[in-house]
Amino acid sequence: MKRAQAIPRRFLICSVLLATFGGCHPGPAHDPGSPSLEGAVRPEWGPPQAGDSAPSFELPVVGGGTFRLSSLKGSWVFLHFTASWCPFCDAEIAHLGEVAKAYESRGVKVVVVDVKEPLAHWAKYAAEHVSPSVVDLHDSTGATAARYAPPRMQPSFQDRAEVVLDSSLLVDRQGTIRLFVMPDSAHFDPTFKGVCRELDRLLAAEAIR
Amino acid sequence: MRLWVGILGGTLFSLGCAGSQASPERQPAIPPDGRVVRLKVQVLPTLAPGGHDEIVVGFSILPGFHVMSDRPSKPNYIPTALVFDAGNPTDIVLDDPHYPPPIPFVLADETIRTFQSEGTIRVSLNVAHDAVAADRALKGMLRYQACTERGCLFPRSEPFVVPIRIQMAQ
Repeated sequence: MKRAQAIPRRFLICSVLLATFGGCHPGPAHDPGSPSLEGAVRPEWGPPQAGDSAPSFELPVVGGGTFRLSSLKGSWVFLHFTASWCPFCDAEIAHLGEVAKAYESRGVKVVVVDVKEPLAHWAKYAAEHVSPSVVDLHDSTGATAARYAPPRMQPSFQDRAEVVLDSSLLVDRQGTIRLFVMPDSAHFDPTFKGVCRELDRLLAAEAIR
Repeated sequence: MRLWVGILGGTLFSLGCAGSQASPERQPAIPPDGRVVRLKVQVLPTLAPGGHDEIVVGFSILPGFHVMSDRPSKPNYIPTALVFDAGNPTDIVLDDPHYPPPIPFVLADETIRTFQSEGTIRVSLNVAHDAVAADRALKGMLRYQACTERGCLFPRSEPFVVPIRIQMAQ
């Protein structure tokens, strides 16, 4: 009877020890002290990521004009890379407008960058789907998108602009990336609830300071 | 015995957890040639003027990827399309391609129509009655736009050639 009880205990001890020391731990957090969002870019993939300066860029605004990221210093920026033909992106695009309206009064600008599709094609889609509250940019060559691709992430993707398609970033008032996330259908969040929660947390922390 | 079962169970559990950690390839890897769809064109028998047959193009999609079907769920999605070059011989007339049935892929509250794994596209072919006996090559490409469970790739195309031999009927 006594032996029969001892064996399950050994089973339990072995399992717990192996699980504890055998590698069942989360990967490095994207931003110490912040909740880990599914799809967050990992430090080992290289820059840019949370804590780095957002790569500067200048792109044409759909409808006319030029936009420089540096022009939004002093505002928070919700930056999103997209394409009209991408089902993930399509499910999200209308919600970007909702986020833009909800956070406008708190100094947040939502910027969407269309990556590597003909301007006329994107402009037609954007007229129907992109809210006027969103800054609508066109990256015809994908060069800007490629600058945001961490070099050791998806190394098999030769076109580096492909890596960041449908990714979202939060950039603070000083131009520092505070969050960088990629999509995932298993945890797909087309309404950006997770990103907004993080934005709320960052804005609250800023207010305390 | 149960001790060993415990060790084995714990090890497998640990390995499972280790596998879930970040890898540089958070999506399935793209091969060095960039192709996620491979084509196999069935060899046609020799045809006579006025004859007809069917071009059969098999496709296989790399594991972990899917492509939009020929009739995607929304007009802004890029359909898979088998297209032939405009410069192909005019004495071979091709009908519209017939694609396999779509496979649903669930994305949030939307179900999109896709192709996955393998499939076959068929195109009926008619040789003109006045066609001259000769070897021909019909050139074309499969246009597609692939995604994984984590994101999408830019549209791509996979070229192919269908060799056709036309001989006078014996």
